[in-house]
Amino acid sequence: MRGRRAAAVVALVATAAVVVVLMTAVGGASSGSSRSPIIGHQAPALAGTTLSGASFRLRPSPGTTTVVNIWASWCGPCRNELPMLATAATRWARHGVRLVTVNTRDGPVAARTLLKEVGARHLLTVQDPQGRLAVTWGATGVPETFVVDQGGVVRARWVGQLRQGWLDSQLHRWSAQ
Amino acid sequence: MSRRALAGALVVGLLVLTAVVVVRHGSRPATLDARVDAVAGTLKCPSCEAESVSASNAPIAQSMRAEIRTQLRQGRTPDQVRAWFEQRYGSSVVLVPRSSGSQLVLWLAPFLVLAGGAVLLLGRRRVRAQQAAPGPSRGGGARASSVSRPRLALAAVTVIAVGATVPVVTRMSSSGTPASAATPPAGSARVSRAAQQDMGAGDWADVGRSLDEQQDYSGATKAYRHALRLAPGSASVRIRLALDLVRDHRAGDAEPLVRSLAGARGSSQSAALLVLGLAQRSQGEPAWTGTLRRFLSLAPHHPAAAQVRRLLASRP
Repeated sequence: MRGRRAAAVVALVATAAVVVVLMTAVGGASSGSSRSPIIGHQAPALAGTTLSGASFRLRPSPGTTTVVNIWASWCGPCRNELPMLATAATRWARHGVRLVTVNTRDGPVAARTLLKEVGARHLLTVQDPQGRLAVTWGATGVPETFVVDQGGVVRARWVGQLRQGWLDSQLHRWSAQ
Repeated sequence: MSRRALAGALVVGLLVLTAVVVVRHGSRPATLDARVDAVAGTLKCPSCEAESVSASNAPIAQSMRAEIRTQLRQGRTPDQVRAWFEQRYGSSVVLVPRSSGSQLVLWLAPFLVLAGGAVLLLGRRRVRAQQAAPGPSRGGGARASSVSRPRLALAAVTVIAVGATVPVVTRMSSSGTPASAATPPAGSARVSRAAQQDMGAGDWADVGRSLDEQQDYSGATKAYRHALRLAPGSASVRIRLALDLVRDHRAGDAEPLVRSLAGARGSSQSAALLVLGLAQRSQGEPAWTGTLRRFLSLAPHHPAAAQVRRLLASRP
């Protein structure tokens, strides 16, 4: 009888452990550093028209580390992080870091207005009206940020509102400073 | 009795599996919208709780549906589309079993274990019942159990084998390609015939642009030719087609497409001059420098202007 009870307890604990592991594995993405199948692989295609009307295509460039940020003007955390991104773009530019933002499922007027509002008009912004670029990068929502090293390999991903500490540590690691 | 029961179970099992095969083949969606919906129904919305891309209204699900539509138009199979998403979102984005590999085993394992377990359990109960039967019939019962056990095991194995094989065969035959094929055939702007019927000039131009992004210039030229056939007056399609012909080392075909546009005043003139100049340069025609200088004079702030200046400065 005692043996049976012990076996039942063991089975219960094992089941609970499996459930916890599964919930952790498939749970919704909250803010933070996050794994992605594209990490460790060549960056997906990123090409399109910028808010200023120019054509842009992301190409690996020796000595240049790229930060790709996916955002939309209708997204609160995106609005919050844009000023920090704008400052970081200027601060890290001398270390060979370029920042490319992807304005997804948005309109150019709303995007330009917000960039002007937060003092981030100088950010290079590629338009992604249908959200196909975001999907190509495996984004699960906005904002999301990726760090691409000098060889064009995706090295890190942040889901949700960006933290300056994380961005700086990644750029210290992957940029040619 | 046991033989009859076994035969009956096998026949019923095979009938059910056959019905599944027939339904799957018969229910292949015909229109592009239905095909998009069918594929979207097999993908999980990555920002939702237990919702498919088809059922969700989340922005990312809408974007995924747009991507599915474009890829199906390009002639990719549902399995190829799913594999593309799996590369970006991981295996958990796929809501249907793959036709090969460990995922299929994972999907089928519970059903196989249940089926095998049920068959063995039934067999064991039968044997116990026969062993518990009184005197005269006991010998017959023992004989029956010695005969039925291997048969029951055989039946379980058969059900498992058939159950595991049919979905694989079904999926392989419905897609025509293995699930692992993640990229379209080389040089493809091969859009399926069903999708072609729904497509207008704008759709073909979208396909061309998408193939451009993938640097499949040969495929893009085919898509742009379709677009041009439907809208012969479209200057932008004509210019894009000519540019891709240059990129695809067919500058000779590109030149006639843009020559008239380059000579006529209009909003497309500068872009036409740029492509014409590049085509002339590819063919070694000395006129290319003059053409590109005209381009620079018309569009000094064009995104390609700096590169053109470098090209002119570096000529021998």
